[in-house]
Amino acid sequence: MKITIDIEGSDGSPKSIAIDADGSETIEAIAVKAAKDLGIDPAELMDDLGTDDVLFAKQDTVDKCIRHGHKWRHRRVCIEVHYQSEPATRHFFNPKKHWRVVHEWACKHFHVAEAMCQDLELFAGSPTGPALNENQPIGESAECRVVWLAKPGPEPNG
Amino acid sequence: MAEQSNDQLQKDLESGEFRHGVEQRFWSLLDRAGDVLHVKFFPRTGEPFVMRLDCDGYKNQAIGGKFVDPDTRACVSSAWPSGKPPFDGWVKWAPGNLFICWPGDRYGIQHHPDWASLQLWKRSKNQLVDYLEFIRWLLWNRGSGYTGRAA
Repeated sequence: MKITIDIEGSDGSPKSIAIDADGSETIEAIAVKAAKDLGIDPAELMDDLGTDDVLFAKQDTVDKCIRHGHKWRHRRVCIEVHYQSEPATRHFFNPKKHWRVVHEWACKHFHVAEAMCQDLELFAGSPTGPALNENQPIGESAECRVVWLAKPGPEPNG
Repeated sequence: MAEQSNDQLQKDLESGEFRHGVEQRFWSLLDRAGDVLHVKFFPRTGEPFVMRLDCDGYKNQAIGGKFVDPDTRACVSSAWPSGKPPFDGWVKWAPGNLFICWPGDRYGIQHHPDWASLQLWKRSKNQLVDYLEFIRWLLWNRGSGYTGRAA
């Protein structure tokens, strides 16, 4: 059977892919297949794959999910991450994820040592912009949001 | 309240920077009585803290902050956060010696008169938000050494 997956992101118009699937295939298998063609990480695709009404779990079968329709969607939001003088990188995240996920991804991407990473925080717009609460969801955005991974805090008072 | 609506403190309470902190659930304003604010801080982990902010002489002198019991509004040690270094350099939570040890805090300056000449608050565009941001950093950043409520 044919399934269409729409990628709803903030990098322009939604990308769409049509794939053939067997009823017994799992969402995990579908995600691996579709992610390859879409050039994205299967884990990220699987993280938010569903219809307007329901999110699928990785062990769900196509037979079970197809009841909700043949048109599925994957929502993601573009975040442009800056760190020091490194080239800025755009990456897509599930908007339901917390900012902590962006922080962890950025530390990994920019090869920041773990001890250093814990002193850093995310700031909106600039390294001196307002702090972002890492326990709060990223949220949806029509545009690619600029965030900085930077070290906040005062000078020592001693 | 009409009198307050045009003052600088009120303007800073209505600023985008203050609202951002509210939206991000870093802090919320509980009440304002003249120049005294009560602000709730949501730390990275654990129960919120309530701070009384003495803002008389706003823009001309440092804000003075004291953590208080959320119910009685009394400044008691158990209402204060605690931590390991460097947190214990900034926050003094021992009974009888409760203050924020920072050049931007009025009571910190009382303990360190040499800090008065720094006039740290004058470097701020938004004195209130800069103060709140300092407390937020203490309660949020893993590197600050914050560990939880004082016993």
